[in-house]
Amino acid sequence: MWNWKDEKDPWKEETPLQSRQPLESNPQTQNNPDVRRKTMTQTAIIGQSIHIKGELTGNEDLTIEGRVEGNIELKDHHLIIGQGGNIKANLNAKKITIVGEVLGNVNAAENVEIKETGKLRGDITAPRVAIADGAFFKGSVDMERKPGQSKEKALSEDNGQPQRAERMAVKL
Amino acid sequence: MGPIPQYLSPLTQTMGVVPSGGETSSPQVHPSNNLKRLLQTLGARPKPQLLDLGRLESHNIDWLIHKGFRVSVDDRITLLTAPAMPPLDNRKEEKKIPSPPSLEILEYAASSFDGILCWDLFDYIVMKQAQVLLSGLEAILKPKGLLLAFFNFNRSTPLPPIRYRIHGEDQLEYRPLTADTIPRRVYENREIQDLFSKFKLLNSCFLKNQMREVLVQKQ
Repeated sequence: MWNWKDEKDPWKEETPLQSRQPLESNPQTQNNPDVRRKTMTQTAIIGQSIHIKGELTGNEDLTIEGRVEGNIELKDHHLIIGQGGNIKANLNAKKITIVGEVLGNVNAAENVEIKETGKLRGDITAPRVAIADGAFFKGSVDMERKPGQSKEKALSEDNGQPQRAERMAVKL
Repeated sequence: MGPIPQYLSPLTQTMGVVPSGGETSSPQVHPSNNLKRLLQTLGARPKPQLLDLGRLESHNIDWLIHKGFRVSVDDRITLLTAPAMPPLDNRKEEKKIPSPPSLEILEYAASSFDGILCWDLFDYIVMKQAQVLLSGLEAILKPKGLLLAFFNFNRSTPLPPIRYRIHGEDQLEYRPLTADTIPRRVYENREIQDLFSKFKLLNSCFLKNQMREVLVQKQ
């Protein structure tokens, strides 16, 4: 399983923001490809031909145009599922924009936006939700519960019943 | 975070999404006492759960959530009105009509919802399917739960698909879509009565726009 958590994060060993110098004037970073790459692009991109299975975590904005199965967590950053993105995962991020397809629950600290070509099958937990005309969405919307709090826990606190605890099938 | 719940089946089909901006310029607003009654009745319950089976309308979701409802969305109409649907206007051929390929399985726990908004979903399915669907909806409704459905009685003019937007507690906006006209089934009053025979009929009214609103309660 590819776990980004295990990878070395070049930012962690960097100097604090206040002491950073511009790339051109800082000889220490001029020859560091990691830092150069980070500085040049603010949003990481997973391309169309990439297929990832496992847990995906990160500390920067991310656009996914490929396929991801597992879980995606970008706590304080913006996650964009691009038009070619095909995701089977639970998503956790500060902001989530869906232009492609997602199958899984979506939790955002700030907002979830489903664009007109976006398709989401799963539950949304976010304080703000915007769904464009033409988008496909199947699931529940919870704008009260804190992102990250499980539905079961929230429902038990409310003395409610989990919506899909016992499945009932009606074949049409 | 746990794994993806099993009830989430893969997205394997074309969703028949209505193009953005596909609305005509003449939306009409009609009063809806049944919507008002449903919202007021359910609004008195603690954290009422509402299931919306109609066309996805984010305005409605926002509106309902800010009124204190917990909303689940399951857009059956868009699925049903995908272009591959066979015509439903010839009732004699009803038996020959295969099950719509885009229909899936309703997967909710029994007694999950206080209310269900069906809008005009039943117009797009044949009687037998309507009976099966309604049986499922009855099961997922809580006792005394309410169900609101609309039936189109306009036989003369083919109606475009309609998007329903809640304008106020008792006001509904009908927004015809410019998408191709989709065949609908026109029910007889007797058929509607039969369909909801297991429910308690709270109100059934015929509107000027040739729509019948039906509000029923699970017994």
